[in-house]
Amino acid sequence: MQMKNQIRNIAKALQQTNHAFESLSNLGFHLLQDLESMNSSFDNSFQISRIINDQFRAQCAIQSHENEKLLFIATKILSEPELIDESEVEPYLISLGAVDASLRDGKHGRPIVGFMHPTISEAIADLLEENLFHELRLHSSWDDWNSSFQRKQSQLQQLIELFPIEHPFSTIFVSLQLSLSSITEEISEQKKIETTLHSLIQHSNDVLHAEHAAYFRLHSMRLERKLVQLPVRCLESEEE
Amino acid sequence: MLDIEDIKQGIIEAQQYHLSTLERLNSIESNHLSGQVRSLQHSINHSILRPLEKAEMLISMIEELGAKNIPKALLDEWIEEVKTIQILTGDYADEESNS
Repeated sequence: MQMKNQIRNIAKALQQTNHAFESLSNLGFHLLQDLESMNSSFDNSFQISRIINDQFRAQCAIQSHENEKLLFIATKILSEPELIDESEVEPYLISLGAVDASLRDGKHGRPIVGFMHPTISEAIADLLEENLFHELRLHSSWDDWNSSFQRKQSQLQQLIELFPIEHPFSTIFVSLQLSLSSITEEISEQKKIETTLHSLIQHSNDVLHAEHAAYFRLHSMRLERKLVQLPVRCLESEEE
Repeated sequence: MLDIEDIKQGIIEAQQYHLSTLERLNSIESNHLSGQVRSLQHSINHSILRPLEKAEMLISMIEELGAKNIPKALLDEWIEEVKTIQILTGDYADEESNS
């Protein structure tokens, strides 16, 4: 009976972990969509970010797969308790034992692939679901893109704080967060170009002397060349 | 860092000084000096007053947009331009009081 209760607790924690991995996978997918849009506008300048995000998504897939295996074992044993006495089930019970040990260790317990402590799972789900509706919005200006990436940077910062450095997610989050900084810098530069260009065009029309107008037009032309087309946010289903 | 207010004041003083010089040149009624007067007026207009106007415009744009909203490379270029033009402003406040 006590063992059944323990397995029930493990299954619950694994279920919470599963939910957190789903949220993380969604984050990876939304990042992929945004990075694809940025890369198509910025001539693939952010491929490194895309590669780091691919690593993140691969890690999510590995962890989710392990989680589902563990969850299957736990629910199978709960629905058929007599299996506990079968010798073939022993290796699976050992896996669940490792999960149990990590659960008892607390928040930053021993690392088990496919498992996270419920405190961390809940924090991840809360953090990522809070901003979920923003992901459905279309971006019609550089400000929208800037807010979107800044929001993701802030989420990543909070995720970094949730994982110990030994966890495979930790360095991925740090790398992703850093790589998004270069994107927000580019976005901010585009915003500056757009604003300055608008003002330059206005000034070149207002000035009295042709040589000043020419000077401002020259700068306008130089800035126009640096202006990048606003990325279109794709809201399509996941690419293969 | 540029002291914008200081530069603006310098530009105003230089403009006043050179505009009054232009007025004085206009008042010269001498046929044999007219060529030199026109040449001097042209030089003052093109080599001094126009660059000063340009500096005024650049400063007004920097103020209007805010330095942090201008692409860095362009802002650096404009600041250099304003610094170069600033040489033309000299110290006209004293010169005017002396003249």
